[in-house]
Amino acid sequence: MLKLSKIKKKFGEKQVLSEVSLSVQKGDCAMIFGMSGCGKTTLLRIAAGLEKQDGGMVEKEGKTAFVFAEARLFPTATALENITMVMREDKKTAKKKAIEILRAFGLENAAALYPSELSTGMAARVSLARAVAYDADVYLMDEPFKSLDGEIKQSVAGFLREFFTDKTVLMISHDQSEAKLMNASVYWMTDGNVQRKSDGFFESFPVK
Amino acid sequence: MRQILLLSAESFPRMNFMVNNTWKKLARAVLCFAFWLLVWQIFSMVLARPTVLPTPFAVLQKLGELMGTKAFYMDCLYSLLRIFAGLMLGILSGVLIASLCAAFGLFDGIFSPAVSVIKATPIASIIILMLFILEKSYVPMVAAMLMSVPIVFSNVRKGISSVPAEQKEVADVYNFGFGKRLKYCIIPSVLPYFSAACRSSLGLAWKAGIAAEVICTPKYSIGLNLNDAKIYLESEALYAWTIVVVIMSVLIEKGVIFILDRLVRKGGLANVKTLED
Repeated sequence: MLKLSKIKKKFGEKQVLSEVSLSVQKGDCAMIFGMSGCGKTTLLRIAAGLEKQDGGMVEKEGKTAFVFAEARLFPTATALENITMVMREDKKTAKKKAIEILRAFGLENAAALYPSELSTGMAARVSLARAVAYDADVYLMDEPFKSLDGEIKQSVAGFLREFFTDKTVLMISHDQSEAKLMNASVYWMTDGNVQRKSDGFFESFPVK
Repeated sequence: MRQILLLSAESFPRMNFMVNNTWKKLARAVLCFAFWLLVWQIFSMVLARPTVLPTPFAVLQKLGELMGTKAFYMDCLYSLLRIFAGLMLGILSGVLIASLCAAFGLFDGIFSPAVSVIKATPIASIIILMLFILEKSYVPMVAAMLMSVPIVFSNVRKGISSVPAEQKEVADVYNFGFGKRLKYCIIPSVLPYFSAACRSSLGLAWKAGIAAEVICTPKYSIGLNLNDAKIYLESEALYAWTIVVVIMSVLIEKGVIFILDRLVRKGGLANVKTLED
């Protein structure tokens, strides 16, 4: 469960978030849309504890994983090591599990590659694989599909949909098709506030 | 067969080129060396004062003479051990102090000014002061150590503070313990700075150590021989020992650079492209 109550945040004189409240239940996926610079990432970072809010409260149940908009892999570790480093299991079990996760993301041949040898899309998938391997209860994801194209996006989303069945997920996106892909409830952010939108929202006011 | 043909067609010209290149480099180095020997020879002949500038032949002859004695190797070895021990202590202390300062603000307040004072103090003052406190054979070691501490300290401190904020956030999000932070965030950031610090402090520590030996004249030391050469006006010996100091400095530097490069490569830093990766 993730509950954000009356979150306020100011950067200098600019009020970025003004009493934002949002609640995501276990097993639900919420997706926030909105114009660039409207405060989506700030809200997500506050939810993760990476940013301090000026007011309001964040309540979470269990472990939290955060998928950044950039892959943010550790350059001195291989793709496999970037995944096993977040796991709590013993070395052998972690390696076995990480290889399975890499396979699910279509990266079985990239295990031994370093981040500098990965394409942007591959690095983004390793970053997602890392979050999956962490096996958190709450997933906060900042445009996780941004660098993925067509078929790969479909297959990654399919895997995540299944994986997220008992997780709490809050995502940011700029692509309306991703809401359908993830069976997510849609939130629209504007003027420092979020509003829950109905399923037909994009038909009446398309984001793209 | 086809492979053999390919080898002869493509690889041999490249190999020839490489061999030619090596020979060219060697020939150039020999020519440069010969040129400076000639300049030295001409100057010594024009000056005609062997106590000020002996001929290169006389110096080389003296060097050969020195190298034929057991004492020469003992002196070189003891000087090397003394200064190297000082350098190692300096590196360890520099890393330790920098780590403590990065971790605790209080240590930063205590040690940073002290390191700045050491950095600004003339090495001769430190050597003479140490002579009052320590047994003279330890002074070169302490001098070498004190030369390297400020360099290692400031570089390691810089390396620790240059861990990218993005990596720190990932470490926070995934609840990394100290070991993982050290392995994936701190060491990769610090290692290039540490390597640069070792390279710079090596030459300085060596020179300061030899200078301390000249002042303190401990038994079995290059410095003692330099001092004796000065006292007895043995210019050939003075030049010969100076050549030994320079050659040893170059060899040590090459050795340490080789080890550091291996260390950096082993640390996976060959794969670091940018800090934003």
